[in-house]
Amino acid sequence: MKSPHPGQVPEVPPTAPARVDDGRALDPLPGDDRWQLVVTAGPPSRRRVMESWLCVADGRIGTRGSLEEDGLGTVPMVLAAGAYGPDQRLVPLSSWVSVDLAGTLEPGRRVLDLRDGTLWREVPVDGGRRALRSARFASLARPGIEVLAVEGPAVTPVTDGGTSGPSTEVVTTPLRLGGGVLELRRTEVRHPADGPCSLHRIAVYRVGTSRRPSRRSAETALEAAWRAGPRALLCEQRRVWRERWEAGDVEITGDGELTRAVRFALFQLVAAAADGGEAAVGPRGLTGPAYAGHVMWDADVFVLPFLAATHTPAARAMLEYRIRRLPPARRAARAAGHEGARFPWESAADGTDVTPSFGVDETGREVPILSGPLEEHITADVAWAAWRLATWTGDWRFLDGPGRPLLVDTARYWASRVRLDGDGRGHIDAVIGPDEYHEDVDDNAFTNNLAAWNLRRAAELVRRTPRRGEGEEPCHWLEVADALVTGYDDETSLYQQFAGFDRLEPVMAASLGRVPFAGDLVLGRSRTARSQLLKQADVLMLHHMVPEAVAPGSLAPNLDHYLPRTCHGSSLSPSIHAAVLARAGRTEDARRMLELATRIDLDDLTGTTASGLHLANSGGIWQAIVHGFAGLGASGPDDAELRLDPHLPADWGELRIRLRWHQRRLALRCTPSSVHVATDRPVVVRVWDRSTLVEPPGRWLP
Amino acid sequence: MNRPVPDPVSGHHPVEPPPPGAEAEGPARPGAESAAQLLVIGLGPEPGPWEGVVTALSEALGLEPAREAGPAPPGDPELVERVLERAAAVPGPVLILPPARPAEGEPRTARTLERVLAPFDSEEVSEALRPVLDRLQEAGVQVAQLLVMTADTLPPMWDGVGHHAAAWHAELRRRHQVGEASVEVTAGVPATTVVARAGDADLVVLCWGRPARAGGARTLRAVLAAIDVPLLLVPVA
Repeated sequence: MKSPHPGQVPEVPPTAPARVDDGRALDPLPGDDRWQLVVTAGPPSRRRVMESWLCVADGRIGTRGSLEEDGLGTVPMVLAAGAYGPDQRLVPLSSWVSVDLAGTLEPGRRVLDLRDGTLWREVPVDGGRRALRSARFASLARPGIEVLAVEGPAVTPVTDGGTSGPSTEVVTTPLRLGGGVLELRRTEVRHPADGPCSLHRIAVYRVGTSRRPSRRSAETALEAAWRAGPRALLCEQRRVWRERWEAGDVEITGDGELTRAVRFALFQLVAAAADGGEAAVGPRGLTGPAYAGHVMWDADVFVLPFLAATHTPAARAMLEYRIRRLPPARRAARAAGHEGARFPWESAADGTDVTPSFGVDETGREVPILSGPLEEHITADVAWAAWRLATWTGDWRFLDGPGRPLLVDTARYWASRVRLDGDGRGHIDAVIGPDEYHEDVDDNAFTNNLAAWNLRRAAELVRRTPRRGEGEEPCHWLEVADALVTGYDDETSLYQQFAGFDRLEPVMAASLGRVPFAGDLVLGRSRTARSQLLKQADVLMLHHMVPEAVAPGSLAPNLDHYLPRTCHGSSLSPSIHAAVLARAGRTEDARRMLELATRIDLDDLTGTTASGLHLANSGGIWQAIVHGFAGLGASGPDDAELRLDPHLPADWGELRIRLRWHQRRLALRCTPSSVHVATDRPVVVRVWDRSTLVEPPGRWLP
Repeated sequence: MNRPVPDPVSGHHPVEPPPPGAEAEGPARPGAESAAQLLVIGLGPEPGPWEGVVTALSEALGLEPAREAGPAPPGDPELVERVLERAAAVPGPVLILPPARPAEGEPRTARTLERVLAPFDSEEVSEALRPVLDRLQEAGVQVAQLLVMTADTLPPMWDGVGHHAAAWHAELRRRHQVGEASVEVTAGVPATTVVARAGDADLVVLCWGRPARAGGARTLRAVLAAIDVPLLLVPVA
């Protein structure tokens, strides 16, 4: 969407011309370390990790960064969002980047340009006298259109001179629920007498989750793209990516490496979610097959906030995925003897719970997985995501309309799920919190407090715009919310993670090793469950998600209490802890956590990056910067002002953040002592507890 | 699988990484074996029960066995050190034949080479073992690769059983599995685990970085002192 006041928000630095030269091959943008991930040949075992890094995606189709010739030991893969097979796992599709190349080639030098979502490759051949070059991208301007150009001596000519093609291939892949994926791939090879061979390919993917996609529609899209040609498509690509960066860039001046790592994370978030229809965003996005593309709380709590603040249609599409799966969620609640809607811990095509009942542990031994029946906070997480979108748009229409059941039905679930004891106190028994080291616990602080938050927000919504049939429900919800045990102790200002947690063995992470480490593997699962060692701290996650709903002043004491017990064995942990540490003003510790978070995939700290990038961590990185270091707070659609409370490491220059809030395009420049707010519409900003009306184009505060 | 030397908690390396410059070999000894030879060091009286293993291994690797007696008598407290010193002086793999210890059950006689145990703890080790294990499999030998997880080999982050573990195992196999070898992961003290599992094998193949520093290669030393099946030492490339 174009700004009504163009030019009032500074452009994303550095800018580069969104044009392509008239040469035959596509031309990359000028080199810039802050915007490019440059990968050269590494050990063969790292090639799969690099494939995940170098994935290009447009929210609908993701293509891992495998080599055109599918080198040894690689996992080439194309994935389509929501394209689940009969087993409710994402179906690997045929690869549109495969090309027969002559001879055995090295991977060469590859550059993923975050500015425009392009992947470039250059391989010396003939002893370095010539080179093979390729470029590819997934069109963000035309999602589902993929573009490949290869030029060089290794391109196998189909004919001796002249042009072959264009030839078109058609591939269809059936899906669950009667759907399918249709791929049309058109290739042309040119072999001029006076130049190297070149290959151009444009592929179009069309996905129908419940019915076969239209062949005619795909053919029309392919014809249009082919007529436009790779260079025009690249121009479009640059324009659209530029818009996305103008809406959501983050820069830490003075730290180019951290800036690049953060942008790499944001790049993955942009590429992971479509901005129309429904967006099923799995924990690894479209970068790899791990987690089967199942939708988990990673999507609602970690990924969605970035999109809600930078590209609302994508966040809306993610919630549409949940809205369309309300019927099975209601059936799940009824099956459990409750009311409302109970969302599954993992869901795929049809919205039923697809969490595996058994898995393997580190030794390959089969062990039960209890998250499906017990990790119930997902239901409140979905409500939180719906509220979050409204909070950032400042617009109740979604919650008054299609998003309303995401709050109301979830509140009904909690109201019926809570057990009231003889003293009138409410309990939620037998759950698992985000800290999965402790299973089947009662009154988990995260679950209870988020359920109470869910009940209160639903009551607020219903009272604001009452509907027939909702009657006295809001009163009941508020009573249940007030009755719920919070785990908070006024004397200590501590939340107990769950009932009985304080009686467990007080194992401190530092006694076992340097964080991060896999605490359950080091200590053993059984002993870990009997100890206070945490994979990630539920109470701190609670402070992160609903800071307005926890006891005032409780962040610092709970940080002091839970951080020493946390080994950060979860990839979700470092970013969120960076956020709460920064909010608490512990900027050096926060910076260390942020830097750790940015290395999770770049250093393959889980040993599974080869199967895809950790998308929730990417979202957590953005939240750490925006909510932690910038201290940006927002609690609901009716917020009258945007709150900022920056806490920056001393050696950061400026923290620059672009986002949208309440229909305003904002560019923030945070320093330790002041904040510059650029805006395209008047906005009230509260910085360090002082409110100021900022008129366009902006000003420094205080 | 890929941790860059974290704080150790309790584990040991099956293989001690070589110090910088350790690739340089010591001076050649008189009669030192060529790269085409397999040095076979017998620690017990000849002939032992391992002739079948020696013959099959030599044929599988295409190396000529060059036999010599142990550099110290059995029971000598310096035996392990002397064996490692000797092994460090040759360019290729070294086969160590332990004394034939009386077994509780059926005595081990004329063992053949059917099953091999190959512990690993890093990609460097797996790559060093790969050519040997390839050849053994080509000769029809069953190979079992074993990772004994310790604090040093654990991934720093472990999102849990299920999807994460499945992805981790898949990638572990892609990085380390040699041919059709089975890949087993277990937890424990590497030396103890390897010695315990050796009873199911006819040969244990261990990678090592030579020369072993004083106090280094603790797992190798412990295995060498306790094992009662032949042990093939393969130097890190």
